[in-house]
Amino acid sequence: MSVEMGKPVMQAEAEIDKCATVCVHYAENAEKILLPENVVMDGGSSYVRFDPLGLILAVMPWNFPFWQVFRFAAPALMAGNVCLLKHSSNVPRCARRIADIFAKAGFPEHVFTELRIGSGPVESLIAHPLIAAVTLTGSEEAGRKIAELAGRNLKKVVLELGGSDPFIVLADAPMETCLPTAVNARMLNNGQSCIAAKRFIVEAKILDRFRSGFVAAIAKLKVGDPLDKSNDLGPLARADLVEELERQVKESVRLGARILTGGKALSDRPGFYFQPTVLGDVRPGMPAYDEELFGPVAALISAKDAEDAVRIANDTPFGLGASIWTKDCAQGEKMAARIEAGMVFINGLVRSDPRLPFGGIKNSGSGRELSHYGIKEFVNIKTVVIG
Amino acid sequence: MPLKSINPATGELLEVFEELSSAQVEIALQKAWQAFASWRQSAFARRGALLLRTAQILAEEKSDLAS
Repeated sequence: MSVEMGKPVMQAEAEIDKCATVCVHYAENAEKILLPENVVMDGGSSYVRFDPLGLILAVMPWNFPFWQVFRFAAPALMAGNVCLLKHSSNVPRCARRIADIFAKAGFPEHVFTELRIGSGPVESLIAHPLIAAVTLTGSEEAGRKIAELAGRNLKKVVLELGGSDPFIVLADAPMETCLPTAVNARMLNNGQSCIAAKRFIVEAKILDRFRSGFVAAIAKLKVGDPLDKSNDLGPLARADLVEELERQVKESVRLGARILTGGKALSDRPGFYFQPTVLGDVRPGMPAYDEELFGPVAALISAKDAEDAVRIANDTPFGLGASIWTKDCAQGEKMAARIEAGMVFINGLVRSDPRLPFGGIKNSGSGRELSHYGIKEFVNIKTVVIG
Repeated sequence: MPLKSINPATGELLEVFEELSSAQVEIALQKAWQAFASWRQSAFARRGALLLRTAQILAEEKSDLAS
């Protein structure tokens, strides 16, 4: 995985562990979740059963090239569906290994199929009468295309798209855990995660203290060969991702953002490296505020108070995850209720877990993966009434 | 267009994969459809056992898969 998409190898190992966990979770829980539900009616008997839908097309991305496939496939297979994987064009080796693993485990032939294709044939696949549903994890742009095709063909669709997750730091935040988590939340996977914290919204009273600790920690990160376990970050996955990130940083700086550390692609070496970067004084109208930054660049935004922080947190087209840092958990929970996102973590890193539903609202997509909600996305919720 | 596996740490081309033709994709869909007929009838216990075996293989091959 590391040599194909640049993830630091220790994080790649953790990703494989997580894939095993989701397999075990659904192996142990799917039957219970999908037990028919009796419904009490007047006379006769009624129940709801959960039948598989059929062939599910999964269009998957390169950033968690194993996890995202297993997160979809484990519940879909347990529900009795058959999976077709169209993986991202830059991770064909990962795709082949995943198909090999299912074959080696003894799954019947053609229950899990890797379709080695680019994005061209996806349109005709979605239109194909044998495809029952589509799931996409990918960019907002890809989401629009897939949703349009699914809509035109009346196919069920689940969309896990981009995010620009807020990381809200209130004046009473527990700094000793907040700071290291802030660094991880932005820099894991070389900053290329939909649920990475991208906008650090910090209460003005504590901004100086947070900024100095955060910038110092980011400046210390080691960038280099992802197979060398002493490195914290590897390269971005493709050259065009470096170019796009560079454009977003330059444009934000032109509009008044300040580079507090980093700020540039590393051109002293081969490969697609970008310096871990912090941008200060980020405001609306800048790409660092309005767009998703898919790489190791953090945007620092000052908020007047908790109320202002919620307003800024919601001032985005996205709505995936959010985290709030405060010693006053009641205050955190009140804010959580008003945050426009699919997941809110108070004093914790936004992360996925097979037991918790995962997904977003607004331009971050629709539908949920994982937990009992995820497995029920790709079933026919069938009413049976016996008169 | 062929799919390219490129090492982003070096820019080196690792491997080139030919795309399936549309006829091959159609065959894959037909075979998947045939597989669905029996897979949907399979017991949860069987599906679960296969997934537990998958988890085992992931654990055994972890360092190779990760690198």
